[in-house]
Amino acid sequence: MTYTPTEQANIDAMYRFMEAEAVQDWDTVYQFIAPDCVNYSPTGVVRGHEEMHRFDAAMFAGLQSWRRTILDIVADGDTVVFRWRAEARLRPSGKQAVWEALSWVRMKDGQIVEGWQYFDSAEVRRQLRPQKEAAL
Amino acid sequence: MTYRPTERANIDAVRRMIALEGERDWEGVYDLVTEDCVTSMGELVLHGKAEMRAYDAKYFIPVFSRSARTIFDIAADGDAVVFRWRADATLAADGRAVSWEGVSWCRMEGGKFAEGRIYTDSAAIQRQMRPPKEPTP
Repeated sequence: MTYTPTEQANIDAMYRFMEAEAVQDWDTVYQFIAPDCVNYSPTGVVRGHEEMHRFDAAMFAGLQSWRRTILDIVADGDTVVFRWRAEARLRPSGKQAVWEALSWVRMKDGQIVEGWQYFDSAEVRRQLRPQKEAAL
Repeated sequence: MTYRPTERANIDAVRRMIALEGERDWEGVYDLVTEDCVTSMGELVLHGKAEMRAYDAKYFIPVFSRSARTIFDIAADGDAVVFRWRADATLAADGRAVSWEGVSWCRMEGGKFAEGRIYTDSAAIQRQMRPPKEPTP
């Protein structure tokens, strides 16, 4: 694959973003997100750093562990698209969910300016739903 | 955007497939797919053209009297072509309009679809497929 320098830089930025997220190094994570970035996902729309901080704080408060692994990535001009697998463990139940998702992001000057997250929220909910006690 | 000839051809194949889908020319669609194409959507995995045909014949074609996808955005990189889309469809059962969004990640071989992964939110589709509630008297 031959990438332009910008495409290669965008791919590298996404890997660094994911590495920082894995260790919850938010200062580094937010270096890769434009202040007025808009993120669309099945759970709603989040605009700008402040809303994103609130979203991340709420999400990570409910998680014991969180890991995302990039499965495949493509870059085309200012666009980077990557498929990823998430492994999450809920706090305090310890219940685990694994799912695949896709992020489509538009980059400018090394930062994400717009992002669309695609995953099956029904599948994630199904995995995280408390299980019924077995009937005696 | 500067594409190599293969990437340009792959983008054209996607646009052709979407146009054929809108015309409900299913045989035209299957002509663009390799015999052993693997298609996945969440836990559903279809192996080969025959399974794809059988799935469409049971769960898609009779359920929607009209269906068309609109491409919002497309990216090509080597043998991969990825596109964000919205599907607009009409339920055959009661004529209601439904729509949902998704992304298809495809790997192409010789101008045909050899692998396809669809990412969409089935919760959004299920919500719309539910019969409307009767008004309370």
